[in-house]
Amino acid sequence: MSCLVIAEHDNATLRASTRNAVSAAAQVGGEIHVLVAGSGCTAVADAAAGIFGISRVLLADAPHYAEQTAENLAALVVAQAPRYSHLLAPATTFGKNLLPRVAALLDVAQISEIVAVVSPTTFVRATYAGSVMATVESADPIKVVSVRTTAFAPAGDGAAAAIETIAASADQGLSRVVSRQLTQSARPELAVAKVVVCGGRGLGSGEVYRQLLEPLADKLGAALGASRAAVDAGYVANDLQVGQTGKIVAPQLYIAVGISGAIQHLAGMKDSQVIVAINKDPEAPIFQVADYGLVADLFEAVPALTKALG
Amino acid sequence: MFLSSEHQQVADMVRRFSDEVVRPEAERLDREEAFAGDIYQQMADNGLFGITVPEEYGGAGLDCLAYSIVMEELARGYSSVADQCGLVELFGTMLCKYGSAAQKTRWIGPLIRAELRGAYCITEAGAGSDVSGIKTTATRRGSGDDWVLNGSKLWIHNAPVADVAFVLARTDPAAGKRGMSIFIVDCHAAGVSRGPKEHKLGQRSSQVGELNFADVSVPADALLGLEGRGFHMMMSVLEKGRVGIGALAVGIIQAALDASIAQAKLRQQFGHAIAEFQAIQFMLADMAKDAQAARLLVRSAAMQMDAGVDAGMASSMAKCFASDAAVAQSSNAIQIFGGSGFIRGYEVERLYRDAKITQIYEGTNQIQRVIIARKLLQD
Amino acid sequence: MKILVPVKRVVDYNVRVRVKADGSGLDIANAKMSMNPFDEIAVEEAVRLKEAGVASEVIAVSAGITNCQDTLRTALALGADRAIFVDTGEMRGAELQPLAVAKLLQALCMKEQPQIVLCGKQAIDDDANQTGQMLAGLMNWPQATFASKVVVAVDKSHATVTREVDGGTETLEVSLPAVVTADLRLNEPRYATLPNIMKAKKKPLEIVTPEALGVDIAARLTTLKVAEPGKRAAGVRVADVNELVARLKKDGVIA
Repeated sequence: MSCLVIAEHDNATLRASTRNAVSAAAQVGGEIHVLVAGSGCTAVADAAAGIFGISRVLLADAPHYAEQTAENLAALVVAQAPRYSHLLAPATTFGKNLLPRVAALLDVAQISEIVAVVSPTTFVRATYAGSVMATVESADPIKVVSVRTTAFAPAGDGAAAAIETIAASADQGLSRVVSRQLTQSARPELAVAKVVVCGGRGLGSGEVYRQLLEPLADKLGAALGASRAAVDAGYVANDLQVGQTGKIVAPQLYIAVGISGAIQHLAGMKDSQVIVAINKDPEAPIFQVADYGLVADLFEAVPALTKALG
Repeated sequence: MFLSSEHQQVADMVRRFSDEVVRPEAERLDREEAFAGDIYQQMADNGLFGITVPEEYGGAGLDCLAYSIVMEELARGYSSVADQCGLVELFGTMLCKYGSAAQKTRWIGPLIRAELRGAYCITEAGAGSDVSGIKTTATRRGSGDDWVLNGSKLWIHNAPVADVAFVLARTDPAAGKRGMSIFIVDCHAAGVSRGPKEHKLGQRSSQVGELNFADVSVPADALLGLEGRGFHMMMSVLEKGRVGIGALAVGIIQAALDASIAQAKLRQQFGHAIAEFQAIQFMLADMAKDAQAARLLVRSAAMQMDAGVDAGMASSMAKCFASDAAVAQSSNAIQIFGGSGFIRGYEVERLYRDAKITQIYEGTNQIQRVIIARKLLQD
Repeated sequence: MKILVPVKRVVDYNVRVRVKADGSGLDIANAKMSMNPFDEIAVEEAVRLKEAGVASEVIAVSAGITNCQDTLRTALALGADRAIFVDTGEMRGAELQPLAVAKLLQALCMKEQPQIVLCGKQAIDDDANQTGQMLAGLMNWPQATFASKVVVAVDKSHATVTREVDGGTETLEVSLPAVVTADLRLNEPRYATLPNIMKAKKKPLEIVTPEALGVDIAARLTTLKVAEPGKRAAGVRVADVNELVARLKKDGVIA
């Protein structure tokens, strides 16, 4: 058994999601290598080498990996694949974009967004917006697996592993990143934050969303999230969306404000440790998953809560 | 009931439209007694007017079964909206059957596209069930071909907003039922006036009122079909109208059922969801039974019409049964909700108020029974 | 320019899916089925490209049991020009998986030569999010996933796609032909108008088989069991903000 984890990074910093994927690999067993493909990314390779439980970092540093396009990375992963029984990546938009292309090129199935490893051939994953947990088994010679980061604790630090430079594969020349518009925020990242404050359509506008929720999030050191309805209505940008087709989060504390609790939203947050719901409709479905439910007008309750937190 | 692929597609599409566009507005439209102009524009854009009108005139070219499905699904969102659909369907049907080429071109498209609003003017103060009691007259002007219209119609749907009125008037007082004709009248013409909007118990978004005609000049080409055939033409479209209103009533029952099931699961008393109590379960079962029975009667009548078979009795039974069931079951729905069902803003409160008129318009249920008994006893 | 739009028939998003009491499978025998919502968005985008004069033909494709033809009729009613149904039959208890679908689409792409394949980013039943990317790999085409905006160049040599990614958005230029997968905010799909539902009946719907396309559709993954996730313990209602804060402090979730 041997696992190759494809690292997620921005050429300067290794993303935490890689550590969750390594944890999943550790449960599969065998040797774990991490692939770092980028441009000018030796710092990332160094960081990856320090992850507990891995024995080697494969570094492919080339200009055409700078933007880490799926076409170029897939060709590289496929070239490395024969040495491994398992290929893993975090189920972030990076991993979701890349991994299926790899699987198809290897003519194997992919098991998407696993939440548990039962054995090296058997995994558990969520379907139907998390209503049905399926245990699936793969008989393919290589298992291609994307990992739901919230289901695996991030691997800690360990002794530095060896870093092996490998040859880059050819530039496929199929696509080009023109630009990226990434949110700059001092707040913790939604996917990994310990506390999440999430706003829904009930807030009424982007301005109210910011006025009411930002002070609360500040007090709690929380990340901000939003329901699909709030994003569709334009209150906030798409990267704040929590749900079946947005981000899956599992913080210690999740506060849902003005969110009714459609199944598609619950899919994104029902594994949170403590769920608080504030909604004026006592029959809102969100109250069925909330540990603490406050039926109140959010325009009064949220400022009151912010104040009560001292 | 097993629907063909197309009919299922129609049902799915209208259900979705009704859920997304109609239902969210129902409470406000009822509260404000507001004309649902925006919704009607969207319906026009999506081909939801003129269901059985042929494609060449801009309609969907579907059958009566499809029409009954459309009416039920719209009514499940809000019955006033379905009633508007039924009204336009009536105009489309009359124009297609009896209109001249010029009349079809002039009126069908604009009515189906919701560019013009129509009013169907039969009822008068002295003539409800007894249409032969109408007093509105149309007399020839001198020796020419134009007509002069005089009379008063009341409780007319769309009267406060209508651009065009289809008016039943006596053209030959001595000839009784064979002396009536239908005229297509411009509501903005001199001599046409409207009474104030009526404030009704239910289906409050439907704008209802009087239309008065004082020496209104009506050109010869405004006569629909043949002179003296007005009563007959009116009777000939009754079956479709009954199917439509029957379907509308089914939509009300279904909405009541859906709301009642949800409430029964949610509401807790004595440590249990009330859905666990047999009294509630029996009420739900009867509500579902009635909804399905009404639906099947309506669809069966529709299919008979589509097959070209006389559907007089079938459509009467469907309208009568469905509307009686809508009144009875919307009352039970309030019972399931208890006190909250009595509060404005709760859907079942409105459904109960919306249901009542279905026993009255489109031929009272007493008239329906007369029709059914007559057919039973005629041989 | 042809656009191929794969569409999947799935359990309607409103249906609460339950696992059968004996754990043998899902209780969806009578569930309402609909077109995957992301695929509707893909169809809408393809039809808009045709209405804008960029594409000349929109071809809808579906694979599975015979009822998939209903989904194709819906695509036709939404504006697709013709449809292709790949009849896989019941597959004796197994299911049609993304890799097999990608191979079927590959065979069809070789035949039809579309410039763009526009599909939904994921199906709401399996939530796999794989088929589009797999097809792109098999065809050695570029892929633009999670698209929120698609602009085709005037000379149709490439497309500029805005993608929704974890940290915000990315603008990606892909040469054509390419696979684009649609995300939620790409557009708001139209309703199939009643007249168009009628017109769809007359549009061509071709039926083919996996054998005729030379594709092995055998499932690679076996589902050993399905189960509903554990339910959370029932929560409590708090009377006011002060009670909420007290309880959260007691739980140690806030300081």
